[in-house]
Amino acid sequence: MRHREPETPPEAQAAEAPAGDQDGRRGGAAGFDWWAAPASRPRAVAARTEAVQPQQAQPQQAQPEQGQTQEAEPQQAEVVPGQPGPGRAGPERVARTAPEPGVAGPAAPVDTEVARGVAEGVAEPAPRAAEVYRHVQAGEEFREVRREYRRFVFPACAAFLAWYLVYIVAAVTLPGVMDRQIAGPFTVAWALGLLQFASTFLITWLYARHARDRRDRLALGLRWETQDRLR
Amino acid sequence: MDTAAAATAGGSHHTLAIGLFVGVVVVTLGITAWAGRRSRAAEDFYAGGRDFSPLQNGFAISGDYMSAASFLGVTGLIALYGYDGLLYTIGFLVAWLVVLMLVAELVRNCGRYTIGDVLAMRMRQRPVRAASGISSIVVTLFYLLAQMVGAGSLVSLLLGLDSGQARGWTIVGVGALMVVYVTVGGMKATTWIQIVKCVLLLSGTLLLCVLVVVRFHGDLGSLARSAASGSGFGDAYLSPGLKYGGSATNRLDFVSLGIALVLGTGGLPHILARFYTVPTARAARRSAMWAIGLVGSFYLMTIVLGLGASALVGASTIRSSNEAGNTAVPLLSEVLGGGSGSNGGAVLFALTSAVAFATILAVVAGLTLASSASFAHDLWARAFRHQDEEQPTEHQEVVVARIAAVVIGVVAIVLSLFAQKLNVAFLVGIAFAVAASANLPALLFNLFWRRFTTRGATWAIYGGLVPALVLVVFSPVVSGSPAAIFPGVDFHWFPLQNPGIVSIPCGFLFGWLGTVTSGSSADPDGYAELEVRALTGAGAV
Repeated sequence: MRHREPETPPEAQAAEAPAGDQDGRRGGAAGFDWWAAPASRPRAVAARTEAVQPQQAQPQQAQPEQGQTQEAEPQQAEVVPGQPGPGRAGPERVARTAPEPGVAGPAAPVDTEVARGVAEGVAEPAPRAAEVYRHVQAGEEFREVRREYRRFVFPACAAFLAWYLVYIVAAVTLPGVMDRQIAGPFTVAWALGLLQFASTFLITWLYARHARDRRDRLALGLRWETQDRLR
Repeated sequence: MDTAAAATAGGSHHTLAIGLFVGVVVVTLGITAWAGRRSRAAEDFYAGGRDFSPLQNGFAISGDYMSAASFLGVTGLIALYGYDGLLYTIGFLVAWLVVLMLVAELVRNCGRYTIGDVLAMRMRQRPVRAASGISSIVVTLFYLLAQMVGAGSLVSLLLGLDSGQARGWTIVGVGALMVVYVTVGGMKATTWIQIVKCVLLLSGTLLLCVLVVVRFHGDLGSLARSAASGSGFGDAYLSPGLKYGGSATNRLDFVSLGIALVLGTGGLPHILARFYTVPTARAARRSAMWAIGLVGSFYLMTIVLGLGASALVGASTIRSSNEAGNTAVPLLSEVLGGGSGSNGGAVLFALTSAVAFATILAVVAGLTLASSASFAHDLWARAFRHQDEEQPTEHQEVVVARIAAVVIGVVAIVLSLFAQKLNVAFLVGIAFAVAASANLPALLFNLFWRRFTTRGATWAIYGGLVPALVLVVFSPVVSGSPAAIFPGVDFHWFPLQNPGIVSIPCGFLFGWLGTVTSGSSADPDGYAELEVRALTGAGAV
């Protein structure tokens, strides 16, 4: 069977708990060592053991705490409509693989780029791998990572690009405003220029903080989870 | 007596400078030999084994980015044109936000060695690799030309060998060295050379900066006032418009350059390749943050140096030494050390010259590596192959990359010998404009647009690359102005020197057009894989 529902690992089912994403965030900032998480450890455990207390880490399934809630979410999203069995997966699966009716999905493979890639001898990801990625992409946990990323990056980029453009256009078109003196020989132009430096440093810091607190833990959990499924 | 003393002092400071240059060459060759014995696999050659720390990579990125054009060229511009020089430094720095937020982590997660890897993840690989390989090589060649032309004029000037022949031999020597660094040492040697150079450059800049500030007793206002009077322009020196004022075309040209600078950095192949030398996306983010901190502080210090050069050396002296102001920093260091003829002046002058020389060597090595990787990994191993042909082994690929480095080195040397009259800052501006027009639209669409197709990707790359090059050919840079490459003829119709304001929108427009006119739709599985890998790091090498 080509479109097999990726099996939900039993421990994840057991870890089902009321989703509270604030918990994951709160634990995200401190004591979280990225370099200590080897890829070979069973899915996402590496990430979790850093977050939970050592004595809590032992009975993992029973601890609906901190990062665990997060890790459990995609499975939860999958199983919500019913039992996670091959029998029920049919319609759901179709809905996921062909999000836009009419656009080439698995039903009309000849048109897609992958089909051409195959014809050309490009290494196509195994159907199973493609399915795992689709599955993760549709999961609530991944959508949370993407939402957090876009929620910060898109407005921040729009803001700094606009501010930079306004600045250079003003520098070449508004000499009257730019020449006004502020402190000693320094003018409005100098203040704006130094503000560009300051805003760059500020946005860098805000971005790093946002990524660390809102995305990193979730993304790392997803990484090990996805890699485990691909294995 | 006086002239004799001046002659010996001049001779000794050149001897000292030559001694330091030889020292730089010996140290870098030592690093190369050390790293060369440790790198065998393709991963070592292209990505330095991916085991650099964020701090090390942050220094290496800054080393790659702060070229001689920044250290000497931008400082010279600030010294001569005051505020308008500052505009350059801001463009160079703000550009890093694009790299940090949109490019660094995602590219680290998706690619292996080149931009082509990121595109090929969800596209048909032959056309997109051909396109991105060609555009990467064009961008790095322009950048390489800028560095080597700069190297020729600067090194010969700093060593006091102001003849065409000496300049030519300098270019050949620098080219030969960069080929050795890359072929023998690969990415590991290149990275360590960048780190050493970055430390040298930052300490040199910091030393000069402190000396300038001490000279003015910490009073930046009096520094600015002295700079304004030293420049010969008075108060206009501290306001925008000295270089980019006047006609509307001139002002528009500046806006075009500003856009190219900000968007170009995210498409520079040698900068993107640096993110593959760290193990994870988070490390890539942290190296970008280190780079922003280092590059930002460096440019803040260059402002002080530029003002100091204008105040202490004087614009007319700088101009008489080099019309474009490229020797402002060495001249400033001489004054700070006690003036021409003194021992302190000679030592500081020689030190600054050696730092500039190390800068040039390191940057050309990084560029050569990036373009040879594009050639071997994208073009030779994949794009130029039929579907039924067998993939070459990694070992063969690295051999080809090494040969490509030699060929690119030779091409760059020959082109630089013919391009000696070109303006360095102009060449860097073109490289940024081409990178922003050809590489960035394809990269961003690929990462963020679900429906983007192979045809869109190739159209985006060629649709940015071709207009950028055509507009340069028909700009006043090539013909129709006294400073042009062919001053005798006039076939220019594009009024601006920098094509960015037209060619960058072209890249985005063609990417969109190619996508909506595609016969086939985008592969949803490919985008799912790209998105998941880009944001989580699953399956990253």
